[in-house]
Amino acid sequence: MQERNVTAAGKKYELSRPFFVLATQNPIEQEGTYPLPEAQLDRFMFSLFLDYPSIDEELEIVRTTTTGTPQKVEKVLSAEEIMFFQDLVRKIPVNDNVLRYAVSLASKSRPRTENSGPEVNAYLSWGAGPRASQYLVLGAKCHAALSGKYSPDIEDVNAVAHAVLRHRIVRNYKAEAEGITVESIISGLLK
Amino acid sequence: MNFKNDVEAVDALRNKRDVLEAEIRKIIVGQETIVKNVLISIFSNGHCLLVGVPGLAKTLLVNTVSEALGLSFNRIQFTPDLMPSDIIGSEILDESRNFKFIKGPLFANIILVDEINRTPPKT
Repeated sequence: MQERNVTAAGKKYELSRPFFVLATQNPIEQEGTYPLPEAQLDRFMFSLFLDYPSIDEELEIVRTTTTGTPQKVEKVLSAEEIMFFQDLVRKIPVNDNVLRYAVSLASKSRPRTENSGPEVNAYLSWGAGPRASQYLVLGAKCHAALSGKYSPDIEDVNAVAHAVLRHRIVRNYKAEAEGITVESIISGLLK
Repeated sequence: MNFKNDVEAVDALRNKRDVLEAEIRKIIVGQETIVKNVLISIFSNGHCLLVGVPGLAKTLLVNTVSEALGLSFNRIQFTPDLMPSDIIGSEILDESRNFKFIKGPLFANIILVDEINRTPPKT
């Protein structure tokens, strides 16, 4: 998944580019499921939590999906264009203070280290690794580019922080007992 | 893809994103932040895990994105008995008694791994 090639019977095969994995997970049904190991979770750049639609949105969903013919989606990008833009995102320059902010954000989430705060020490058993720092910076670059900015700032890092850190920090039993959520811990880090 | 400079290219990326979002909007109602984050992860060449209760259009979203991007797309439903070779592909004996590698569903641009937590970690 990370290496973008597979080995079968001693032969290496390159996967087609761009290669992109989108995985879905259902959080309520526990029977017959195997929770993903942390090492596998860490390979995902983002973990996104979907919530129920609002009443108005649901009205529109029901209205559009129960009548008429479904809308057709047009193809608007090609594989070459996507790869060009992926290279472009990597080329975006980053200010040193933004870089420092992203790295310190990840290191603050590691309990019992010199940068961690009391909340992290008390409620987390595991923090985010260096891959989180990488994705914080890359995600911030992309967020800036998609919003029409030419260089990311701290706001861009904050915008992707929840999605990047959510699946990388592990709460301890104390946090679970006291009902402290991962989201509230991340929000605490962003302050 | 030819642009005079990177600034122009970033502007083009921004325009593409608007077009892309409009296409996705035709099918997906709401979930703005999710759509935005999925696009961010695509353009930063990262993978994405979608967590949510059934019926929130997770699979539909992935389908729509891959259609709008015009990439090859494979869906793998994860089941408790899924083996690594089911995804990667395996070698079989062909008619002239030589081993031939048959590519599995992993050989596509976008892979939708449905219900990833249904399979044991070995796969």
